[in-house]
Amino acid sequence: VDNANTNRRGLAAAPLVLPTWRLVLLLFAAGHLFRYAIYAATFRDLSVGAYVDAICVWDCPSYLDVARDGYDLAPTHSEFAGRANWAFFPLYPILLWTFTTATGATFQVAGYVISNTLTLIAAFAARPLFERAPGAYWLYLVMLFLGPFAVLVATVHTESVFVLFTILGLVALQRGHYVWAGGWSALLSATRPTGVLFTFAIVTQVIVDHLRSGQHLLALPKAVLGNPRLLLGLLLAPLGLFLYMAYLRWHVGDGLSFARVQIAWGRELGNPLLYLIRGLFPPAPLSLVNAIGLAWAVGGLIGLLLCVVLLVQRQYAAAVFCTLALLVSMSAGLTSVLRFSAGLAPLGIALAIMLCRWKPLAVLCAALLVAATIPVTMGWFRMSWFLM
Amino acid sequence: MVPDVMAHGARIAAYAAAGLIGLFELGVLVALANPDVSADYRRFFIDRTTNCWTRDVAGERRFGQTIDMVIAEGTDPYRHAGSLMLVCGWLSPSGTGTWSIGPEAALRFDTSAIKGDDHDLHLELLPYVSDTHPTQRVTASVAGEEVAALTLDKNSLRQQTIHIPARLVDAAPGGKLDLWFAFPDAISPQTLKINDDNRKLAIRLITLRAEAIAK
Repeated sequence: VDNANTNRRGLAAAPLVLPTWRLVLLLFAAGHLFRYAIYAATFRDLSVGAYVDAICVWDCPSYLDVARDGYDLAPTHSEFAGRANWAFFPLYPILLWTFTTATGATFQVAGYVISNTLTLIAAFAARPLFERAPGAYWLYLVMLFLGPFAVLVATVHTESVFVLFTILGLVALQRGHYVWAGGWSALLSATRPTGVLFTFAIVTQVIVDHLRSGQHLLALPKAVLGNPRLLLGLLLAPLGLFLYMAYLRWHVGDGLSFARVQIAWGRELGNPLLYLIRGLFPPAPLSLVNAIGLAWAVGGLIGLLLCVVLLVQRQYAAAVFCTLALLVSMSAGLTSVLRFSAGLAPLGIALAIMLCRWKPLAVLCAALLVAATIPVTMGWFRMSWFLM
Repeated sequence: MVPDVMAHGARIAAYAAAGLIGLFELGVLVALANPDVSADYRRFFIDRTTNCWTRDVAGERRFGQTIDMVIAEGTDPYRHAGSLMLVCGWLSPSGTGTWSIGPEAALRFDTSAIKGDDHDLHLELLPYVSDTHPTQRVTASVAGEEVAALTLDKNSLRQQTIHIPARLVDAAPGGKLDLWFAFPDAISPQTLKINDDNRKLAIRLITLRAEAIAK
């Protein structure tokens, strides 16, 4: 039993008879069955193929499109003027294409397999992040596999990849492996626009480690330059984004087209806090559109509050990364912020650790989260705008 | 920070790798500052002097018929026939009509089969107005020549007519006549403090009918 000595407190202490990996697999399988049951009950349909189709909503078709046909040369989207698929970062489509080419599977099935496999790996990889609160690990796994936003990491979206590389990056930082952290960050930066912000998490950890070692802040530049591994890690961190920008410069003629194309979705850069306040205080009476905006704003607010929790837990690197990721996302409006918050792994980890301080509360929250999964997953299948 | 202990060769290799990556990233930054793009791309994405990225649509050719620009819920807006004329500056047809978005928009008509007639375009439309933003001015032009100037408010008739002379119809390049609208008073729901939507709206089309005027 590999965790017999590690789980002395919290949720996991009592029920751990099975080895950890079996319990992880059990929760993973339970999550699949749960979502499938929700699908079957919602649509009165037992077809697995239809289930895989139904789970592919919102950004899913765009990632499939990039994997199948590559990037547009110019906006050619039939629906909206100016829309092109440059906003969808390349790492996930590359994985889709590779898997499909190797196995002959459809892109949709490939995406389903990739997302779920990477999420499972993320679950195992996250274990070292719970060294100080091992019981919270199980609550985090419940959230990851059975929670209301578990559907996000199970579908053809980048959340599974993002969660995995974030966790691997944080584990690398925890162990002082800056080159590895830079490598995972490079992959993050090729996954989503906010991935490059993990570079700041590395910088934060470098500063924290530097100060903890008793050195003066002014000595930091010299220490960085004198440490080739650290220097390499920092320069590696944004490499995925730079490679994508170089490709876009060659393919489209503009390396920033991934950012500029946002205007075709009506997204304009603005003050994220103003967007948040407007979303939180919509004019009365509450229309459906404003209710959706309110839900997104609440998701963003909870995300920011969990960033404060990360700070309190002294997870400075994760706090900086999540705060910046949320603020950058919200600077283009509140659309999808609920989803972005749910896809930031450190926030879920912080929540699990916080809740596990009080065992009954943790059990109650786990039950509530699983209960909330039913309406949220149904909403996902029905393409509810609240979950966009 | 724990001092890094590395073999001399490994240090050199790490510095070399870091240097190469740094140089590459610097090169990309330089390339970013000099985009090599078309004039249309520059106007739309970089200078932001237009909100119109023109779609190469076929153009409406059902002259004399009323085209519904409101679609039933569940209908795919871009399989809706009315979308064949939406060149740019319009949201997808919806249950409330086809909304303009931004300060300009264009509709396309396939005039390849018609020659020599003046045409009237009958628009049933509603302006996006409120108590604090009571009017919407709309100008329409073909090939740079203004053909209509409207000022709409909440009491305006829903039915408006735009007259297009035969010479403009006949001169349409490739038999594609683009009717451009300018909306100087377009305003967003966000500015009107209605919701967080920052898209600038001016009018919504309900129906549309283009027909030749009998001589």
